Amino acid sequence: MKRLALASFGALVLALAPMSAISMTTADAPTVEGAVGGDPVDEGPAVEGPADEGPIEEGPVQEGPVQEGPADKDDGEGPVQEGSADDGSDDEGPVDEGPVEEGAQGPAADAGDVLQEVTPPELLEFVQAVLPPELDIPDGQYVVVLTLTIDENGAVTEVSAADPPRPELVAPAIEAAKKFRFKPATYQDKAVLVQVQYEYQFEVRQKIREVVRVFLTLERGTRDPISEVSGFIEETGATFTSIDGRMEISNLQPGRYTLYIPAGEFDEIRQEFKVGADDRAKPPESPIYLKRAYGAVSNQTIIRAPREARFAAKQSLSAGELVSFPGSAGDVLKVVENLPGIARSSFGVGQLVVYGSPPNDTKVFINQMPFVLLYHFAGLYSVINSDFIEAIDFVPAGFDASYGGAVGGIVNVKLKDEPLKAWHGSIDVNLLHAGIIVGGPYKKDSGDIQIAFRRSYYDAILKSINAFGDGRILTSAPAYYDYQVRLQHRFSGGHKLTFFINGSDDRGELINEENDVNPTFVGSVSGALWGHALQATWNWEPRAGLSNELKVQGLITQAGFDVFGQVKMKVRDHPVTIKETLTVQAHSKVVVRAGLNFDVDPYSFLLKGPQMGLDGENMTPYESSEVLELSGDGVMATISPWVSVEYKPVERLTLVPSIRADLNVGTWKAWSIDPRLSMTVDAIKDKLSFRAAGGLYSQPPQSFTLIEGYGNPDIDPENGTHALVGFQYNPIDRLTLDFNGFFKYFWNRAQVSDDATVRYDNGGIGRAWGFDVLLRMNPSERIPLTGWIAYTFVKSELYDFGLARWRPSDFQQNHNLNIAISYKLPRNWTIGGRFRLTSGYPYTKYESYQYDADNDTYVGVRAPGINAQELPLFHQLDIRVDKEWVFKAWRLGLYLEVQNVYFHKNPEGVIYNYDYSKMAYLTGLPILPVLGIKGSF
Amino acid sequence: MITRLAERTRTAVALTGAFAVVVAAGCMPDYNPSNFIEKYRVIGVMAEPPAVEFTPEYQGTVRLELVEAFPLPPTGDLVGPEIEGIEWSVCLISAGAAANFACTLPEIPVTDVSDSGRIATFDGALIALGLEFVRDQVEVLMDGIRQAVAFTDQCNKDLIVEYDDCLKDGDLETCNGNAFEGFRKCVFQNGLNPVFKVRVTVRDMLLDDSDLPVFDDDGKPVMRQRVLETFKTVTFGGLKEGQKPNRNPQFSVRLGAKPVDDLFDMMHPEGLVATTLGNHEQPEILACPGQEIVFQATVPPDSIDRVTGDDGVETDEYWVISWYANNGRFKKIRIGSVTAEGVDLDLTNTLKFKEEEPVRRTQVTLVMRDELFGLNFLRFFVEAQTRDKCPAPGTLDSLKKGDKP
Repeated sequence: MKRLALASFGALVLALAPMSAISMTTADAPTVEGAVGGDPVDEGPAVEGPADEGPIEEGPVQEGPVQEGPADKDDGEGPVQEGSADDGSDDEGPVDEGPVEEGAQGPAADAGDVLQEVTPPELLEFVQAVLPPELDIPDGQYVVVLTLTIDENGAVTEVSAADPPRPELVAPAIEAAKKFRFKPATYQDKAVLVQVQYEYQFEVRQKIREVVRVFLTLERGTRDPISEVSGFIEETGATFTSIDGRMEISNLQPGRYTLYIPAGEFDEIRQEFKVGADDRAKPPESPIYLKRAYGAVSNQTIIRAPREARFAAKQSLSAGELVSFPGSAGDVLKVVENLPGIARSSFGVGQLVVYGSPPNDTKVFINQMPFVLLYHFAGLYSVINSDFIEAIDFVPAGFDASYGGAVGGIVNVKLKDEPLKAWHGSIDVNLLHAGIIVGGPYKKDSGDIQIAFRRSYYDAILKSINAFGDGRILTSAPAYYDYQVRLQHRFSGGHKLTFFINGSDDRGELINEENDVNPTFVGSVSGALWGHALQATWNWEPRAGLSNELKVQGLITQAGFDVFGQVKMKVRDHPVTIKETLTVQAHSKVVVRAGLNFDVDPYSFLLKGPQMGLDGENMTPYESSEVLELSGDGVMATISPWVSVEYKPVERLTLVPSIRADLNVGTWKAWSIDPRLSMTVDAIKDKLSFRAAGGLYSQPPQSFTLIEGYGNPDIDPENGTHALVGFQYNPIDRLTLDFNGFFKYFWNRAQVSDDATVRYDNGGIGRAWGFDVLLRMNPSERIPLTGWIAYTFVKSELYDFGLARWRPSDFQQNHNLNIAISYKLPRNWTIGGRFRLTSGYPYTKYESYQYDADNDTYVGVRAPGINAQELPLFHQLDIRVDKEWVFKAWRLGLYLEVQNVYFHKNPEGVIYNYDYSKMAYLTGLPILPVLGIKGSF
Repeated sequence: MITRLAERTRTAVALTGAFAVVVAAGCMPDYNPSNFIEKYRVIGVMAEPPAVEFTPEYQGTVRLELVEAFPLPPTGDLVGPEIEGIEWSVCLISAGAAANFACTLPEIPVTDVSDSGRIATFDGALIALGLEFVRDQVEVLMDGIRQAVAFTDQCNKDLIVEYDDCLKDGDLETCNGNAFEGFRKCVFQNGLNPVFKVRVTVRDMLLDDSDLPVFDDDGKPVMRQRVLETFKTVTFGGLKEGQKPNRNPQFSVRLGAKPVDDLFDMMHPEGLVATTLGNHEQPEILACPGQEIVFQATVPPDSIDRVTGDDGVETDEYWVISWYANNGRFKKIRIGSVTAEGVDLDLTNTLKFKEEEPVRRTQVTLVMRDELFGLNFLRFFVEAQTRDKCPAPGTLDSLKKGDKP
C-alpha cells in the first residue's frame, strides 16, 4: 500500500462544524489531509429516546439526529439524507434528536490533483445512537468528533473518538457509527479504503413524562427481566422500550389500548390493557411473558473471550449452552476434556493431560484458588454444579507469573458474579444422581445468595444388580455428594465481599469375603476423598485504574484408600491460602499487577505400600515388592511474590514481562524463580492476532517422592520451560480459527533413582512439542449451531538414559481429533453429537517373565524400549437430545445422552495372563445411556 | 500438599472405580486360571532348611529342590516337554523383583546338583568365601548395595552414608576397608538373603491363545524352546536370643469337606490323600466327566512359626497354599490364612472336571508357603473312573459334593 500525505482535501468532510484536518487513505492511492468547514444541511429525524424510571420524572432527552450526507464534491455540500421523523407530539418522554450530520465542504484550494480524482464516500444508512437511560447530563448540544475508517465495501471498520466535552456520549456515538453504511470512496473508478472525520451531534433536553401503566417484560420460563424490547401502542403509534425489565407506558388518556411487541429476539405478542383516570397517580404493574424466538441467540452462547496477553494461549468457554453439550452428561466442566491441547483420559476418568504432561503438572483453580478435586468418583461428574459456573479458562502453556506451581497448564473455573435479580431454582434428576439449586437476591441490588446440593445413588443400583458378583458386598459405595453456597454483598465505595463455600465427599467400600486368586486381598477395599472449603473474596476499586483483590481460602480435606489393609494411604490437611493482588494502571500504556500468595498446609499422613512408580516404571507385583508402612506430619508452606507488567508500546502490541518466586519454607525447603514473557499483536483488529509466550515454570514434585522415610526430602522442584506461538483468525463473525505451536522442555523431573537409599531423584528430563488447531463456530440467529473441530498433535517424551534416546512418555497421545456440534431445532429441541478419534496411549510390552518362587508370582520382563507400543485408535460417537417445555414461570427439560452409540470396544489398556504369555486389550464401557429430567423456575 | 497427594489419591480411586466398573461390565479377557497346568512349569523351589545358620564361626548348608508341574501326558502325535538343562546359581546381593532380580555382584554358580539337576546343595561357607572375594572390590560392593538395599535396611543405608562421607576426605583405601568391615558387620548382624536362580531350558509344544498345540503344515506340532528363570530366597544368618529358625510348613490334604480341626492326620488315615508329615500311601481317587471333588487342606498348629512384627507383637506367620492341576479346574487358586472379618477360614477346594471332556490321569500339586521363605508341597493323582461306572451325561447331580462314584 502506498501512502502519500497531501495538504488538504475537503470533499470527504461529513461534519457540521468546521474541521481542522481530514485524512484519507486508500489501498493503492495516496493519503490526503486537508482542512475544511461546513454548515448544517438538513435536520434529521427526532425519535423517542429511552424512558426513565418512575411514574413522572424528568429524564434526559436526546434530540433526534440531524443527519447530513457527505457533501457533493463540486459544491461542497453533501446529499441530503433524511431520517424518519417523529415529532413526539403526544409523547413527552425523552427524545433523542441524535447527531447532526453535515455534508462535506469542497476541496481546499491547495488539494493535489491526485486527490481531486478521489470520490468521497457517501452515507447511505444512518443509525440512531441509543443513549443509556441513566444518562444524567445538563440540557444542551454536544458534539462527538469521530474518525471513521470506511472500507472498500462502504463498511465502517474502525471508529475512534477525540476527547469530547461529555465522555458519556462517546460510546453511544461509536456504537451507532459502526453501523453506518456508505457508498465507498473511489479512486480511478475503483473502491478504496478511506478515513474521514465525522461529527455526531446530540441535543439534550429534559421533558416531563406521566407513566400510566408498567409492564414487566419477563422471559417466559425463566422470569428473567428483559431490557431493550420495544413495542408500540397500536391506537396511537407511541413507542416504548423496556429498561431493566420495565416497560413504562406514558402519556395516554384513559381508555383501552393494545400494546404490540413485534417479533424479533422474542415472538410477537399483543397485550390489551386499560388506562383509568387514576392510573397516573399509581400506575398498575403487570407481567408480560415473552417467549424467546427460535434461532434467537441468548446471552449464554459460547464466546471467545478477548485475548489477554498474559494468558496468550487461553481458551475460554462460557457455561450457558455447554450444559447440553454432547458427551458431557450435562456437566459443563466435562467439556474441558474436549478442548485442544487436552488428551482424552483413559476410561474417561477426567485426568487433565495437557500437551502431553502428566495430570500432576496441571493445576485446577476455582476463582484462582486451589481446588480440592475437579471430578467425582470415576470422573462421571464434576464437583461443582454447572449453574454456578460462568466460564472455564484453560491455558495450556505460557501463562504469566500470577500462577505458579504447575509446569503444565492451568484450568481456572470462574464462578458467576452477576447479581441475581430474581429467585430461581432447579431440580435435576438422572440415572446417577439428583440435585437441587436455588438462589436469589436477599437485598435488592446489593446482596444475593445461591445454594446447591447433589447426591448420587448409583451405589443402590450397583447393589441391586449385584454388579461385583457373589462374595463381594457393597457396603457404602460408590457414592458422592457435593454442595455449594455462594453469597455476595456489594457495599458502597466500590467494595464487594463474596463468600463461596463448597464441599464434596466421595466414598465407597467393597467387602470382598473371599479371594480365590490372592487370599491376602480379602476384607475391605475402601476409598474416601472429601473436602470442605470456604473462600472469601474482597474486591475494592477505589477509582478507575486501581483495584485490589484479597482472597482467603481455608480447606479441610482428607484423601485416602485402603486396599485390604495391604496398600493404604490417608492424608489429612488443612491448607490456608491467601492471595493478594493489586492492579494499577500506572500509565496509559502500562498496567502493573503484583501479588503475594501465601500457602500454609499442615498435614498428617499414613502410608503403607510398595514404592510408587513414576512415568514408564515397571509394575512389580505387590507380593514381590518391599512394603513400607509409616505415618507422620509436617507443614508445607510457600510464599510466592510475583509481578506482571502489561505494556502496550503501540496500539496493537501488548507485552507482558512477569516474574515469580516460590519459596518453600515448611518441612520441605526449596525455592525457584521463574521469569516469563508473553505478547500479542493485533495484526488486523478483530480479525487476526498473533501471540507468543514463554518462560520458566516450577512445581513441587509429587508429594510421596519427598516424604522422609518413604522418599527423598532433599529432592528439588521440577522445572520446565515453555515456548508458544499462535494466531487467532476470525474470517467471519462467529467463526474462529485458532492455532498454537508449542515446545516444552522439562528438567529436574522426579524419577525413581538407581540409588535405593533415596528412591527418588531429580534426574528426569522430558520434552513435549506439537500444535493444535481449533475451528469454532458460535450460534447465530440464522444458524443456531454451536460446534468445533479441534485437532491436537503432541509428542511427549522422556529421555531414556539406559538406551540413550528419547522415548514416549506415559501420556503421549499423538493425535486427538474432536468434533462436536449442537443444533437448536424449533419447539425447543436440541440435538448434538460428539465424535472423537484419538491415538492410543503408549505402553510397554512384556516379552517374558521370571518366576518369584518365594511369593508364587510372575514378574514380567519388558521388551526393550519403554512405551514402544501404542494402543489402537480410540473412536467414539456420543449423541444427545434435549427437549424443553417452557411454561410461563418455569421450564421442564428432558434429556437423553448416549455415549459410544455404535458399541465400539475401545482399548483402554492391556492385560496379561498370569505369565505374560498372552495379552489382550482391556476395553471401556460398550455404551452408556444417561436419561435425565430437569425442572427450573 | 493436598492438591498433590489428593490428586494422586483421587486418580487412584477414580481409576480403581473405572476398572471396577469395567470388571463388572464383563470387559475382561477370559484367560485360563494360573493354577491350570497347560504346559511345563516350575511352581516352586523348596529350601531345606529355609533359614540357614550363618555366623563367622559356622556356616550351614542348604538343599534346594525344584518343584515342577507337568501338563497332561501327550497323546497321539503330541509331544511332551523335554528338559534340556537345569542350571543353578546364587546372587549375594540381588536388586529384587523390581529390577528383574538383577544381581549387583557376579553370580556364583551352584554346581553340587543331583537328580538331573533338580536338586542342588549349597554350602554357606561359599558365601563367606564370596564375601572375602569382594574385599578388594568394595567400590563394586557399595554400588551394589546402593542399588539393592532395602529401604528399611538401616544398617546398610548408614554404611553408604558413612562411605560417601569418608570418600569426601579422599582416603580411598581407608574408606574401602571401613566399608567392608561395616558390610560384614551388617551381614552377621542382620543376616543375608542371597537369591538362588535356577534356569530350566525346556523344549515343548507351541500353544495358541486357547492353550491348544499349534501344528505345522505337515500336521506336526510346532516346537519351541523356553528358558524358565526361577528365583528363590534363602535366609543365611545368626539367630538372635530366643529366636527360632523358620521351618518349612507342614500340611496334609484330605478328601471331603468334613471338619478336621482337631484331627491329627497320621492318626486318622481315612480320607487322607497326602501329607508332608510322613509316608502315606495315596488312596485311589477316581473321577468321571463333570464330577466335582472336594478336597480339604489341614495345617497342624505346631507347624506354623511365630513372627515378630515391626511393632514387636508376635503373631502366627502368614501362609498360603496354591492348588495346581493339569486337568479340570480348581475353584480356588490359592487359600491363605488371612480371612475377611467375620469369615471363617475355609480350607476346602473343589476340583471340577469338564462334562464334555474325558477325565485323564490328573496330577494335582499343592504348594504351601509361609511368610519367611518356607515352602513345602504335596503331589497326588486323580484317575479316570471306568466309563461303565460313570453315569450318563445329565445325571451327574448325585456325584457332586465329593461323592465317590
